[in-house]
Amino acid sequence: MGLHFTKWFQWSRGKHEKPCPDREDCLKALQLYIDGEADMELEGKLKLKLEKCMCCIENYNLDRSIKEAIKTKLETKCCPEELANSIRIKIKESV
Amino acid sequence: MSEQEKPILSKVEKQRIFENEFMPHINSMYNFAYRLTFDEDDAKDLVQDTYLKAFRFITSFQAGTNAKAWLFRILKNSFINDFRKKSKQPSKVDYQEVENFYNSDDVDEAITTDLRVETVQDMIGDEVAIALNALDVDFRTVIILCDLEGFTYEEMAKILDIPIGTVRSRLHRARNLLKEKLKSYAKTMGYK
Repeated sequence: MGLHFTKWFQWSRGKHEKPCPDREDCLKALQLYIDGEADMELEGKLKLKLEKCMCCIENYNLDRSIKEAIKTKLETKCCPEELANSIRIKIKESV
Repeated sequence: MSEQEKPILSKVEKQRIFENEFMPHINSMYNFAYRLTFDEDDAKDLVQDTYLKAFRFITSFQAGTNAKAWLFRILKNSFINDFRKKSKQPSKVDYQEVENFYNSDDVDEAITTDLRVETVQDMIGDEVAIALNALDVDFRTVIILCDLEGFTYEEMAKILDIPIGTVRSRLHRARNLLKEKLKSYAKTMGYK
């Protein structure tokens, strides 16, 4: 409890702990996990890592928030109705 | 699928497959085309071209399989083979050059970021779009396919015609680059 609070406090104050020694490999693995592409073994390892490595927790949260932002914040361009109709007409003409 | 394996479809069956399996994806297709071309007229041409090709080669489509991935593959190929060549604004970046650079060993080491979760959460859609649109089209594509359209890595490998390992590495590099773009954009906009 005390250790977790200290880590949280340092993190919230921007005083991050030293970078994860496996940062790059963890980043790659975390992205697989976030994309739902990690196998059960990797998933288990990452869950353990996320319990103790603040650097990985930060990277996990950041990557998840970027994925979420792309999914939810980007404007979706809908196909104009006249284009859909024009395609249907062209198909009918071709058969 | 070999010529002998292709089913013989009646006109009615072809039109049923087209309407029931292809047309429901037209909004995603248009959105993808727009995010590749940044132009509504070009996106319309690309979508129309894709659907006409899809109908022409409808016997190559296996009914009940993933129509969306099949259509995205045709659209991507049309974009690369036809559209990019005749585009008034060809890609300014030689993709092979970019991929070679980003495949170098030290590039991942070079890319670090102190982008904050709160900054990303505070950004509006247009700001995220500016950062995404600043990426080279091949990096932008993998992010769109994965994060926006929700394709699996296996589906992306088929759409892009690349090995699944390349999907993984290209996506990882695309995300590193996107973080850099988001970070520098956030800095110019005064986000903390």
